[in-house]
Amino acid sequence: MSDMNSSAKNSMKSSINSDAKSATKVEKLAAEETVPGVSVRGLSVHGPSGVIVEPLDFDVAPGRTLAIIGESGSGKSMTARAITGLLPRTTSALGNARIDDLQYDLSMTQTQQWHQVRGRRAVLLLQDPFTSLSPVIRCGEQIALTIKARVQAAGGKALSRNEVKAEVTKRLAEVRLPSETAKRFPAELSGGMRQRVAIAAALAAEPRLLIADEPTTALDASNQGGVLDLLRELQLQHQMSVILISHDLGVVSGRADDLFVMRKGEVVESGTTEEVLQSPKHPYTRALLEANPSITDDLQESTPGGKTVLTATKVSKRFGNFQALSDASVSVGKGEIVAIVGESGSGKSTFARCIAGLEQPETGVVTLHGKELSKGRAGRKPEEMQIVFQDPYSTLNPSFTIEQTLAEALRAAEQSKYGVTELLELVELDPELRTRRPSQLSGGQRQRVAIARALAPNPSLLICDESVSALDVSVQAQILDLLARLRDELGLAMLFITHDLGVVTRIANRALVLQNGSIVEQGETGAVLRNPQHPYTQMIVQAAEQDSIRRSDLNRNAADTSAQLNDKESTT
Amino acid sequence: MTPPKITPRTRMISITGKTKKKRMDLTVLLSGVGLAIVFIVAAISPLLIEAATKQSILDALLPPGSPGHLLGTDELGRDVLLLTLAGTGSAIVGPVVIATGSMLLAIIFGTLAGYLGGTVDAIIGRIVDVLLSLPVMLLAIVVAGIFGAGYWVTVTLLVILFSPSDIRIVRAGVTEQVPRPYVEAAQMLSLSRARIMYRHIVPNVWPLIFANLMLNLGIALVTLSSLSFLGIGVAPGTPDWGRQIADGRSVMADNPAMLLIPALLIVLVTMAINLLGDHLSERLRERGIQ
Repeated sequence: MSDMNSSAKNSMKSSINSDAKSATKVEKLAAEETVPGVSVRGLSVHGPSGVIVEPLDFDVAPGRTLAIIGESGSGKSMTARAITGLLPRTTSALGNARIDDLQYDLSMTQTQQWHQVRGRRAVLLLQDPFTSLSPVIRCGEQIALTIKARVQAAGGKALSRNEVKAEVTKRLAEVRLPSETAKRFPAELSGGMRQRVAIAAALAAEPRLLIADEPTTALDASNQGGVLDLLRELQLQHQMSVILISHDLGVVSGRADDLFVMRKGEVVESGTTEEVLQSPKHPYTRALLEANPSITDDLQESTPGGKTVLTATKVSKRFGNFQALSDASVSVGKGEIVAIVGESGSGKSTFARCIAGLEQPETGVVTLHGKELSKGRAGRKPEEMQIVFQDPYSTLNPSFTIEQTLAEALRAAEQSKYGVTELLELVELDPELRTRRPSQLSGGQRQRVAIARALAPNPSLLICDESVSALDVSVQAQILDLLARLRDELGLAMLFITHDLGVVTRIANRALVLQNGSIVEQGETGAVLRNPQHPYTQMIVQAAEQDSIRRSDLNRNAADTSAQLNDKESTT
Repeated sequence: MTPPKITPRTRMISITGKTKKKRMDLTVLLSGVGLAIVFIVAAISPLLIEAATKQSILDALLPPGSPGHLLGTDELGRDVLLLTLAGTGSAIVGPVVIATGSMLLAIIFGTLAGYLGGTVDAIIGRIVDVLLSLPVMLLAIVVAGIFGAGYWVTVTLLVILFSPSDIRIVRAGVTEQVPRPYVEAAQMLSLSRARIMYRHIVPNVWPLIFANLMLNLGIALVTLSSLSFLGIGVAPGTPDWGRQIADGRSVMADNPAMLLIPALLIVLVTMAINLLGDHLSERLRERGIQ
C-alpha cells in the first residue's frame, strides 16, 4: 500500500503509456513482472459537461479493502463503474487497470474486451438487491448461470446438473443461506437475504476484485452489519481485493483497510481507515464525521409537549391476511416531536398513513384538537396535517415549477399566512429558485421545497415519513436542524417516522418502537434509547451503539487511546 | 490539482460522438422538412381538387414525362401529379383526426381507469377488451354498408377502434404515477380528483402519450389508405392515394407512376412520421429525466 496518492502528473504519464500500448487493449502480462492484486493508474471519468472524476491512482492488495466515501455527485460510483466498463452512455473513462496479470485499458469500448474483465476478474455488487436479481428466475438458477459462465470462460468441460447443483448449495452455504433458497424467487426473500444471494452469485464467478457499491444502503439497520461482516469474512477467505463504496462513514470503520474521501470528483483525503477517521485532515472529512447522526449524540432536551394536538387510539390495519398494524396509539403535543421507530415491515409507515387518511384503518380513532377525523381522505382538510415524504426525487411533480407547486398548496388552504417567497425563506431557500423545476434542484433543496409545500396550509401536525433517510449526511443534518427550528418557531407538532436511531437521538422528544405492527416500547427518547426495556428495543439499540462505538473509538485521538492502554496495564 | 490535458484519444472519442449525432439529426431534419411540405400541400389541396378532377378523354393514359403532364395521366385523362397532390388532404387529415381523437378518448378514459381503479377500471377494461376483439377492416366494411361509404364515417369509426389500445397504454402510464409521493402530496392538499388526474398526472405521462400519437398517425395513414384502396372511405372520383393505387393497378403497363407515386408517398410519409416521432419522444423523455 505504498502508492496511494492521486496526482495528475502520474496519470499523465500513465495515459501516455496507455497510448503507446493502445494496439492491445487487454493483455496478459508475464507472471514474473506482476504482483497479485489490483492496481489502477490514471483513472478519470469525463462527461458531456467536463471532468466527473479527476485522475486518481490506487492499489488494492489481495485480502484488503479500499473504501471510497463520498456524498451523491462525488464521483464514487462513477469510479467503480469505470473499472468495470459500465459507465452510462455519454461518459467515458481514461487510464488503465491491472487485476493480477491482466492489464487493460479503461477507455476500451468493445463489450467483448470487457467480457474478459467483467464478471470474471471483477464483479460489481449493486446497492439494490431488488433490481440486481431478475424477478422471474429462481435464485439458484441465477447463481448457476454465473457458475456455468465461469466454467465456459475458463474453457473447462461443462459441468453436469448435479455438479452445478452442488456448487450452488456450496455458494449459498457460504453466505449462510439454506439450500432451499435455490428454489425461491427473489420476491419471496427479504432484502438482506436477496443481497446475500447477490453476493453468492457474484462470488460464483470467483472474481479477484469485488466492487460493492452501497451494498447495504437499501437494507434495515440490523441487517446491514451482518451483510458487511459476511462480505469481509468471505473476502479474507478468498483473498479478494474489495472496493467498498459508501456514503456512510460508520459503515467503513473497522471494515476497510484504506480510505478515500471523495468530493466533487476529487479525492480530498486518503490514507488508512484509522488514520483518516482518527485524525481527519481535510475540513470536509471532519464535517462528514460530525454530521453523521449517532445514537451516542446528545439527546434533545425533553421539554414537555404543549396542549395535545393529535391522538390516535387503537389503530389497526390489515392488508389481505397480513396484519400490518394492531392497536397502535400515539399522541403528540404542540411543539413536540414524537418518533415512530421500526424496521421496514414494522408498520410504522402504515400507522402514519392511517393517521393521514391515505389508508383506511379497520379500527381506531384519530382526533385532532379533540375533534374526530374521518377515516379516509374524504372530508379531511389540508390545514389539519401534511406529510413530508422520503424520496426527494419523486416528492415534487416534475412538470411543475417550484412556484407552481407552492402556489397550488397555498390555494388549497382556506387561508394561509404565507406567500411563495415567505415559504421559501422559511425553509432557507433562495426565492430566486421559484422558477426552477425539481430536476434543477439538489436532493436537499427538493426536500426543503417539500417541507415548504407541507407548511403552506399552516397545518397543525407535520408527519415526516423517513424524510431525511434518502439524503446525504451533511444535508441530513441541515434538514434535521431546519425541522427542529420549525418546531420551536412555529410550535409544530411533529410525527417523525424513521428507522435510524441516530436521527431519533438528534431530534425526537419522545419515541415509540414498533415491531410487527405492535408498539413494544414508548417513552421519553432518553428512557427508550438509554434504558431500553423490551428485548427488541435492546437489540436495535445495541446494534446502533456498536456502530457508533466503533466510530467513536476511531474518533478518539491517539493520546486518549494510549492513556487507556496505560490504565489497563496498571490495573492488571 | 492541475486539470488533466486532453489526450488525443479523448478528442477522437468526442469527434466520433459528434458525427454520430449529426447523422441522426440529418434524417430527423429531412423527415421534418418533408412532413412540413406534405402538411402544407394537404392544407391547400382542397384548392387543387377542381383542377385535378378535370377529365380529358383526348389525354387519357399518357405515360410519365409527357409534355404538360409530368407524371402522365390516368384512363380518364386526369393529371396524375395534380391528382396525387390533391389526394394529400384526405391522406393526412383523416389520420391526424384519428390519432388525436383516439388519444383524447384514451387520456379521458385511461386516466379514469388508472387513477380511480376498482369498478371504474373494471368497466372501462371490459369495454376495451370488447373493442379490441373487433376486426377493424371487416367492421369498416360493415359500417360502410350500413351508413354509406363516407370519409368521415370511416374516420369516426377508426377513432373509436384505435382508442382501446391507447386507453391501455395511458392507463398503464397513469398507474405507474399513482403511487408516487407527489400524487399523495396532492391528495394531502385535498385537491379535487379531476385536478390530480389531469393537472398533475397526465403531464407526466405526456412523453408516452406523444410517442403513441405519432405511432398511431403512421398506422392510421396506412389503414385509411388500405380502406380507400378497398373502395371504402372516399366517395368515387375523389382524389385519394389509396384509391389511386387501386385504380393504378389496371393501367400499370401504360402509366406505372399512377400506382407507384402514391404508394411511395405512403411509405415515405409513414417513415418520416415514425422517425420524427421517435426523435421527439426521445427528447421529451430526456427532458423528463433531466
